[in-house]
Amino acid sequence: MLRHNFSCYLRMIRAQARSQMQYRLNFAANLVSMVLTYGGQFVSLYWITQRFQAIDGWRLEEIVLLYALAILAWGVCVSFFFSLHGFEDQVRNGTFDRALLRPMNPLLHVLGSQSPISGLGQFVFSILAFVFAFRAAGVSLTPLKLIYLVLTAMGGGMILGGAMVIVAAAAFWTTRTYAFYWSIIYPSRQLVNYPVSIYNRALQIVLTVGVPFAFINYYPAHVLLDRTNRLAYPVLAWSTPLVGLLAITGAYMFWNWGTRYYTGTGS
Amino acid sequence: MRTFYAFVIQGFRQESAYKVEGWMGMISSVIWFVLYAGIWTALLRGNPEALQRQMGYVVATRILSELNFLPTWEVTSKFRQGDVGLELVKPVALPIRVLADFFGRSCFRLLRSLPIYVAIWVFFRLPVPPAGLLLLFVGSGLLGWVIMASLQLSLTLIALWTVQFEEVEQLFGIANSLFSGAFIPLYYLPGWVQSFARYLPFAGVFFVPAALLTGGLAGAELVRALVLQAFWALFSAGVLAAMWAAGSRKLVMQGG
Repeated sequence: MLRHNFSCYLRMIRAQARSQMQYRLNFAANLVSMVLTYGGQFVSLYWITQRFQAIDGWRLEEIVLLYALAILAWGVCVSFFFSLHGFEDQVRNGTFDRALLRPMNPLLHVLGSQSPISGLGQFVFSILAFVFAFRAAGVSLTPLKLIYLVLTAMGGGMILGGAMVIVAAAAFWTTRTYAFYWSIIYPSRQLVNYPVSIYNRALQIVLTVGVPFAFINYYPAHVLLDRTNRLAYPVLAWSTPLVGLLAITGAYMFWNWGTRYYTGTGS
Repeated sequence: MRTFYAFVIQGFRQESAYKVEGWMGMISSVIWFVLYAGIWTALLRGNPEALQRQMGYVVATRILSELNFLPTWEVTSKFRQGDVGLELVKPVALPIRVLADFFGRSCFRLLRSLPIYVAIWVFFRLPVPPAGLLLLFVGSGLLGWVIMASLQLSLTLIALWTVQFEEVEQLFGIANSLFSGAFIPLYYLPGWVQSFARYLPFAGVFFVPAALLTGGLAGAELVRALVLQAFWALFSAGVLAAMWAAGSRKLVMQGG
């Protein structure tokens, strides 16, 4: 059953990727718009650090490293989970019925409706940011760090993906996902663009155990910067892959519970 | 004016119809405040006076950002679907209807989140501004809205001539985020940036109202800033009127 589901899913996303590759110009336009957005954020960060040197002891290049990790995880999330952003439409128009009727896991069916290389722009951009941050901060990239970086990207992608799944599942009750995404997930993602240590202790706990976005970049950045000893619990720095797995599993359980409340529209 | 008012009321009602969105919006207001408050607390830890002023500044910009919610992408998608032909048939010009609708919706968002901002103001024991200053804040904030709304809708109207034009809108958004003081008050920017950012229309959207409320702008400097802001508001409204007049004559319809 599991094998059948994944082979269906793989076939779907391969077709989606092929179709996306027909639109090269679109990809270039996306990349330009991303360079503009992230470039603008970089400029404000640069101006702030010019005036105040550091934010809670984190220098420009170290905060860029936080950005790079966040963009990388977001790239993973965009590649595999972004179709859930518009899930509200599928519930409202009743097209989700189709996913329920097919001989395949409904969530994988929804996820299969998007191309797995949609996050390519994010990957390109995060690599640029990593190169800058690593050079400026003098990070030596050992094989262990590189492996952990890849695992962290996957873990962070799963944390964000879990959030997308939960938001999408909310549509079973409220038929609203855009509002949840833009009011809660998007601003929460912005919170971790800065070192989490600047926030109130209560919020730090929320970002660790409630909405575990601190694991996307803040904690694993301590590994890359060789400063895990600065954390009260150094093990947190190594926990991103595990937290990612827990997040996606929990989100999937919530989704399954939610599908029981799906009644279709007009019924 | 009467029709404008009617569309404002309609926009207000429309926005208040979505209960879930209303609650989400309040949570969103809190998250954004926490983000900026956290950053500035870390930056100004050693200077309690500057920190207090900055907290007030952050609350003021959050209030202004509720006001400056301008979903012009809705207009763009209408144009894409070719509905713009219908717009010309209607007796009230599109910019008036759209701006009145946006304004009504912003008013709802503002009222919805205002209790949160007042609570924050009280919680952080920020000084209560005198009534005159509050009134000036409201007036200046509204002028800022006129600037932002007119310019942004003007950019959207470019779609009447060409089909794809998102990069320019995005560039405008970035310039706005950097030079408006929405995040960094202009007096904390590098000197060379400050010297020209004060003359840009963006300064009137966030910086002028927020800084005057928190004492970052006063005296002759304040008068100069307000005059400049009024100029930009007139200029922007003029641009929008001219764009609409020209655009409705030369209309390139999708599929036409």
